[in-house]
Amino acid sequence: MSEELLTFEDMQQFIGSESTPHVLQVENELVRRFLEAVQDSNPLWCDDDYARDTHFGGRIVPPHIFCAIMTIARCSPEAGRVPVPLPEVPLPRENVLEGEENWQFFAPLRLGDTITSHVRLADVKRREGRLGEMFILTYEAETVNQHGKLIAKSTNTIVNY
Amino acid sequence: MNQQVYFDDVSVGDEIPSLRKHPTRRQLVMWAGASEDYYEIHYDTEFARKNRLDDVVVHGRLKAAFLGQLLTTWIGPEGMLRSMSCRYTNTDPAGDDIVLRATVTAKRIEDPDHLVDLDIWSERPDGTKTTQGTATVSLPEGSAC
Repeated sequence: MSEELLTFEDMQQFIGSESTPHVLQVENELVRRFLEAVQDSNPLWCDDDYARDTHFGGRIVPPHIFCAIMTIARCSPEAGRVPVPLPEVPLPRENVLEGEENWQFFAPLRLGDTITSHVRLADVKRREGRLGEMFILTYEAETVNQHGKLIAKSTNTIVNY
Repeated sequence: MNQQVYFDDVSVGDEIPSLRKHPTRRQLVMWAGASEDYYEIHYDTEFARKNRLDDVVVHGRLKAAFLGQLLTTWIGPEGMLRSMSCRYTNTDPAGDDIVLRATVTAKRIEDPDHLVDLDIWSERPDGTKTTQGTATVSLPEGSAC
């Protein structure tokens, strides 16, 4: 690649860009792989008999699965090496570190739900730091279920250097 | 079985029971698969070094998931995790212990919700904080007693 590096001014023009909606089936295998990776055996996520007697009336999906879903939603095969929240918007530099994240949860997620997420580039900043020139990219996402009910909102910031 | 914690039994300044994790490189690979985050800095030493890191590092979002586990374990089946935010301030090498901790910073009632705010963080065995943030949970009103 011999193209010139994208500048701060180039990146500012992408603020407000939105992703195509990302649709995900919240099926049992997805949740099982998540729970095994985290090593979280809370019976509310794993044990039908236990969960049936709670006010949820059955197993729910842990809200922190959004820590994984955020990446799944951004990993299209075209996205390349680094998981990019918005494949439609190029990264100005090669390397990525996760910066800051915020999740708000509005309703529990259930096994079998189909969720749709929209991601938007909310802000771009440029900084000199210990890794040299860095771009701070802030993305906002909103996720609804198959009934259009708001499940979660998130903001996430990556450091691109 | 989770013991239920109630709003009236929580005080500002309380520390909730901590959670100790030991993410091995194998666990990082499992997380890579579960989250479809195949970035090599989390399992390829050579690649990590080229990226100005000493060795492979734990995924920030796996630490965030650990913080979610810490909070949802504590609030029990009648609690709800309402929000969680964190900053990844330091990296954690694979194969070391990570301790997840939280303290109660405020209690408030926003009818009908009984909300508890917390500071949350992860730390290395030497006490260095590597992830820092805040969370809000709702708890059932009343007391267990």
